[in-house]
Amino acid sequence: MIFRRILAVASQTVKQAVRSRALSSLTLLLIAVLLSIPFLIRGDGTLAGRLQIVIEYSLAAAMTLLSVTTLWAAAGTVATEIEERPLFLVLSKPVSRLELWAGKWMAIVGLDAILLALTGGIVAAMVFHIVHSAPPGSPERESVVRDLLTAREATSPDLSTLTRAPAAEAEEAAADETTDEEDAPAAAPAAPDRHAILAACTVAPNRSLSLVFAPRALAPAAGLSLAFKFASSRPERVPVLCAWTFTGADGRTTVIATTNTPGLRYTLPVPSPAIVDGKLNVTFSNLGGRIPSTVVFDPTAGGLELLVPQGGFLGNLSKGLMIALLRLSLIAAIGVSAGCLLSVPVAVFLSLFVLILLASSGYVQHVSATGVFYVPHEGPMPEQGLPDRLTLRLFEAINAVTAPLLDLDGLPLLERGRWIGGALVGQAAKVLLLYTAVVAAVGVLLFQRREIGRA
Amino acid sequence: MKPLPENVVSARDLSKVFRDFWGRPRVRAVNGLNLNVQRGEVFGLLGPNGSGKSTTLKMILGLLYPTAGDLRVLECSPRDVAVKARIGFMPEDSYLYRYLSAEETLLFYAGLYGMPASRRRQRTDELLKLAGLEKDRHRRIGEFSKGMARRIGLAQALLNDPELILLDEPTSGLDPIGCRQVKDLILDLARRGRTIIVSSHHLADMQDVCDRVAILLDGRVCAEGPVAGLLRKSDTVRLTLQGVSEDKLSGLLAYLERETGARPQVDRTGETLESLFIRVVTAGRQGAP
Amino acid sequence: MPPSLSKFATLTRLSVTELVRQPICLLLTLGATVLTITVPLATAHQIGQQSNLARDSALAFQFVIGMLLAAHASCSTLTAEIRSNTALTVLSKPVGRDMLFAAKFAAVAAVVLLFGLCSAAAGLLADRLAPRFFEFDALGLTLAAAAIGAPLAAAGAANAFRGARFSSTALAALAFSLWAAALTLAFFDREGNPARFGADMDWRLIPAAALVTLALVLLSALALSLATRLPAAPTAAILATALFAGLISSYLIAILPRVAAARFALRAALPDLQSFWPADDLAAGGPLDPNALLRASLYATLYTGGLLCFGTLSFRRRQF
Repeated sequence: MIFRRILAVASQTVKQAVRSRALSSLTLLLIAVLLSIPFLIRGDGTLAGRLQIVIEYSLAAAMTLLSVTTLWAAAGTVATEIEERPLFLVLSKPVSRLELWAGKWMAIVGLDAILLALTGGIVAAMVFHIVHSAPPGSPERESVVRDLLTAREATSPDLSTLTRAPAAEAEEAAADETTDEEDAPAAAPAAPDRHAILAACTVAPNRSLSLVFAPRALAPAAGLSLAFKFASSRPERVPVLCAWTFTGADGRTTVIATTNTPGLRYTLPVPSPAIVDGKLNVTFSNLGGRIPSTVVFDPTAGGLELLVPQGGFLGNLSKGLMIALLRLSLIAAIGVSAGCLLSVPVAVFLSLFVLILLASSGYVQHVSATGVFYVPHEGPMPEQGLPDRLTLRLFEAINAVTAPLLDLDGLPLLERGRWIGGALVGQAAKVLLLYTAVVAAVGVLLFQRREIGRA
Repeated sequence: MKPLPENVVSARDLSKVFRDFWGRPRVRAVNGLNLNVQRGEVFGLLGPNGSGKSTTLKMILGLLYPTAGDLRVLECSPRDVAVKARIGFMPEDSYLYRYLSAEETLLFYAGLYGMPASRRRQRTDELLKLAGLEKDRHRRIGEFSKGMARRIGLAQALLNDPELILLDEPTSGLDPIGCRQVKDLILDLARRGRTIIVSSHHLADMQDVCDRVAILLDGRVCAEGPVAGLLRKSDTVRLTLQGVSEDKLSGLLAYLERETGARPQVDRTGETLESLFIRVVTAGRQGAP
Repeated sequence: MPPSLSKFATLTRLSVTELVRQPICLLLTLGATVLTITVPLATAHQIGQQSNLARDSALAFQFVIGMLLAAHASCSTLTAEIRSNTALTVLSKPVGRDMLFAAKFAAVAAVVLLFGLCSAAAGLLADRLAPRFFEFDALGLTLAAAAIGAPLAAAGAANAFRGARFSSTALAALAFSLWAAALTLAFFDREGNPARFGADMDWRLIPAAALVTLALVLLSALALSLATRLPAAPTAAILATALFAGLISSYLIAILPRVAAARFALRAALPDLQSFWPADDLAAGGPLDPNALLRASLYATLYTGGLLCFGTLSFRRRQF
């Protein structure tokens, strides 16, 4: 019976949205945004570039539009009905404020689900249209299918086992009089803190670095790639001659030589026999180049990743949109709660403010962690006055609330062709639904105290 | 279903003060109201604009919360959601959803009562027929005239066959035939044991249907009691005579004047405008091809 | 005053009063002001670009939030009144539909102008607050904070003690306080020392804000014309599309196939809002080109007039 009442409220809200042409306007606007962005943003003109624009910009624009309109609709649906008074009649029926809240929220989330499904359909159609515009079998198309349209799980190297090459190399370095101090191999890290990791991943010319990858789940050794990016000790980005040595179970080694420019991201196919007992052992060697330079990998920032195919683009897109729906559910909850308490414009503004706060949670976390708002390029740190200290406390309080929501977003992974795992979806569901429940509880509690029939 | 208590609505020293943003008292809409509405009666709430009638109704419905005093509805707090399953409310203005059709409106409110689908459909059909809106069932409320919207307002108030019915200006916006029908409906509901509270400015309509009335002024009751008792003038009697000739009438009047010392007032009764209207329109509709 | 002008003035005054009493006008104006003034504080790390960022942000906020204000004002003053039959009550008096429509436009334009006034002052303050090498203008910060806080406090006091409407009082006080702050600041340099009036202020922001305001008035005419027929949601959607498309109209026309008729139609239909975006000219330095300002004004006048003609015809034929 409770569910029947909630469903009655929800279906009335949906009918209202459809018949007031709000839904159709939003749908048309959404379609216009999705279809127009690839025409408006040209990018580099390559197949990968065009795909990146669709996956990154079109989805981001759609999400922004849906977030703002969800908030507006959620805040408006209750607040408007209170101001125009249909809610007087509804609340004279045996409907609790919780059921009313739940019905409104369910309607908004339901409409969001439909619009997200439409978004997903259009994006998928555009992606496949772009891919199929390239000749079948062409290297560009193969590369795009492999790098962007295959959902690959990224695994960082086992940081605790980061070691140098055999001691002989260290002795050579010590004996080599021409070696600069900056090119001297660093000691292996005692504990995996970031500086120690960077030091361990610093490879001087003619030195090597052994890496072990232990991926979570390994499909039968097909389609693995190694993604890497390194920085150089030289300010000019001179290409470096590299060698990657893969050791198979039978002891046979495969060496792949590459020439790579510092700062750019590369992907290297991993030969299948290189997987031994579910692990990949690879040694990187810095063979120097025209102008030898020391290279540094940062595995904590994706500088070294083993990419394991786990699924396709459509599955990944679905999971990304599922997480997006959960985020929109939280936004809808904020909007409905605000609408239950405040008039329409105030509710919308308050909800927008909360949305902006959530969107700035990365910056808030950064300030909370570092304790400063900015670092001057030269000169001493300016003294923090009372306003700065108070603002910092405020940021820390906000961070305590918003930090768990960081990284609960599948779209950045989708943009890089990274696999959105079930664990992430589960975590997002747990945290976002918990937050939604808290917002709902607070909203309903305050709504119950509100008088609806004020003169 | 729980039996109705003797006092269906009971208010003791009920007060309601509206405050401004700064918490200062702005309007004292209800001021120490004492009221009892008994089971099965038609109770009228009368009063000039701003006397607190609508505020009292809203407090009974739990939409507003009393500032002071005690209010019980069906022996429960008005904020108890479950008690609203036994109440029907027809508001003064059409607080209806413009984009829903008449049928959808009734189905929606029936859903809020938790009725099963078959029962929802059945009650909707019955009430659309009662309201005379069967052929307009698929039209949107936003396209309705005021009278049609009032009929749907009344229909939705009766969806759950409530024990307590609150009607705020039930005849406002209706033509005389519609008014007659509403009054007949109120009397019929009262005969079936329903308790009805009516708030209206149409005093003639209230006089026709109410058993007891309370006249509110400045948020408190300044007169209350059975209609007949309140309207009786103890020193005045009205005689209605039929088939009396002029001679006999003159003789009777002379006798009465001698006995009472005052010349009796004579009025020749005719139809009321309402009954003439209903008679003419009904005859016209029946005679229409 | 001729009777028709008197009626027009009455209708306009009433509509303006209705609009400014709504909290959303205050919220949008206050929101734009606060965002404009706080952006320089948040972009202190953009060495050498703070002023550009402050100016560009001020104009961008004015454009986007102004568009929302125009959409809301048009829908509120026309769509809502038609729906609630308030417009019928007015039209039952000896007031023609053309006059009512014109008065509504004048009211919306007046509110947009008030918004433009606040945005211009906020832009001046934002430009002054843009820090040079992490040195913040302390006097400017104080005056800006006061310019935002004081009107709200004053409106609150007026509401508490005199029963005045908070929203309309705060809006009027905000416009006054922002300009008072900007003009006061013009007498000081960034170190807080007395200086020649306006030496350290970028007065070009005033004509720049005026240009954007003209564009908003143009969009208001579009919104009002749409509001004669459409409800709020489609009106806002179309207005947002027009704003976006108008800002990139040259690019859109350039990527079209070379069909002269299509290009002509698009050029006529799409408002060329790029002419009203002076950010690039401000960044280049030097005064804004008076001829460009004049051309933009003429374009706005003609385009707005055309839109109002369509709107008037639509309103004339509208049945209630």
